[in-house]
Amino acid sequence: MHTVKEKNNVSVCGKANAAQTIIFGHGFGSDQTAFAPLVKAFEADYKIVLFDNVGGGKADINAFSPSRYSTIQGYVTDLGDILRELYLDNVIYVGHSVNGIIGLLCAIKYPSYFTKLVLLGSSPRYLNDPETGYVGGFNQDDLEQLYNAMSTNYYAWASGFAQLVVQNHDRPELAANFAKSLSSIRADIALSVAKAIFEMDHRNDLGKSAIPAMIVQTANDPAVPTVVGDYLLKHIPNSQLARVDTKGHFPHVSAPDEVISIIKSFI
Amino acid sequence: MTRWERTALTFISQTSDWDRNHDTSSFIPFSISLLQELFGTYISLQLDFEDAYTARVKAASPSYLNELILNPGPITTLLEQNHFKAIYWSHIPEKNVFDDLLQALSSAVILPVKGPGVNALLLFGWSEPNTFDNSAKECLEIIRGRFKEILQQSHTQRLVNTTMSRFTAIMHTIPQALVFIGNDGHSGWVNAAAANLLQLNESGEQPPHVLSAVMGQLINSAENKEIIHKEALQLFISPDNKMKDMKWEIPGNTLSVSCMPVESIGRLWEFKKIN
Repeated sequence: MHTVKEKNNVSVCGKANAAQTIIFGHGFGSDQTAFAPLVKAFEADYKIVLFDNVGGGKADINAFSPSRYSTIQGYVTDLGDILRELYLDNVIYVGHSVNGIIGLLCAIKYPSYFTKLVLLGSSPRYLNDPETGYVGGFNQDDLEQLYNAMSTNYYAWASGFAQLVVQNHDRPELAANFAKSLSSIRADIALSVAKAIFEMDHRNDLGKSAIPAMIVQTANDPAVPTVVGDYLLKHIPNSQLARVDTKGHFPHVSAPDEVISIIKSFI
Repeated sequence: MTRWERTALTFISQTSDWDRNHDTSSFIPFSISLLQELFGTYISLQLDFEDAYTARVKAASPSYLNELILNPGPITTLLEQNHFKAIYWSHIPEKNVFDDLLQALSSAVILPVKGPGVNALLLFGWSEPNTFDNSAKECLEIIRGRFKEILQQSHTQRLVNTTMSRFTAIMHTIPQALVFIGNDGHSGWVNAAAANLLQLNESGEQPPHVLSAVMGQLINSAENKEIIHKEALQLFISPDNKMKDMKWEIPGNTLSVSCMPVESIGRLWEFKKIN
């Protein structure tokens, strides 16, 4: 059995003896390289830990178990394993999209490891819930269409989906980069992970976190409506919300300077 | 009677007819919650070893533990070291493989449940230290045996259901009309195409007398019914006889009809429309 470092392609850089560690966790279809500008901004003062989710980036593809990752709890366990294997403490966790919620769940499970959480474009539930009036941005038909498109022609879907969620059409290289990392995921794994993400519901967990959290949203995120940011703010104790003046689902990619500034002032 | 003996008795009596009167899938949540009440545990759960990477928490109390994923490797090592026998911790060791689950608890019992199709354990944890004497161990072994029995039965039931669903879906997709008539005189089955051909209201299980009647009607409607009757007589002389690609001239349709014995349990009729 390989180590967690190998399994998750963990890389450690920055100031080795720093008092605090920043862990960056990437979202679905992305990988640790998406945080390059943020790493550069913090590496002089913080120990930096990067990793790839199993099923994405350069993580060990053989470690992908459809069972373990049928919900995001498998990823929560992975993050806990990284914290323990690297003997980390005083962790500032910066998680994009689903990894924001993974970080939050991990902080609920192991609060002593964490000092701050930064959730970039995160959502506790993507599916609308008409019964409670919750707006997640997607209805069941949207998701069925999404799964169908992924199963039918994954590479065409990846290209279209990348343009849709990255936006910033004046900088097409951003969508092209995301499309490239998305296309590098095995189609069956991408579908399985997408289902685990889009069908999760962690609204009831938000109130269990005691770690100060910064919620970061763009002005127009096609995957996470602005009301979801308000929902997180309302339900995560000790949280703040910052809106970044950019479009798309990747604030750290499309407006890294603004995100760096928000994180610096928060931590 | 000791507290443990009473617990075993109550557990057995409350779950004795579960497999006959209830859905087995609800047995685990019911019995774990029953044991939590009887034992006065703080934590009770089932941990399912789904594959080499996945040990999933199920039927947990407190419920927020449900769906947590643990790494099976270290837990399996512990179970192997104990030869898959029950583990009794009167005082929970400081470092243990259930750290995530047993935080701030004092005593625990781990009951491995392993058998064909079942690889799981039951975990019970108490806030206070406990002494597990022979009577306690006996009680927990009885409970473990009952769990194993029901989990195996539940596994078999799931397997049968899955196989049945798959088999039925495949049979209904086949364009040929298929009719099975059992030798026992009680069983018969048609796929969707056969139900349509024989003008039955539904596909699936059908009594043989109904199938005989509608097949008789079909034969009687055939322009070459005398030839069909003659061939049928030959066919039924021996249960091992078969018939292949016989033409049934039904008004508007010519059918190619075959009939073959199925492993001494009945006959399968196949109807293909030629035009």
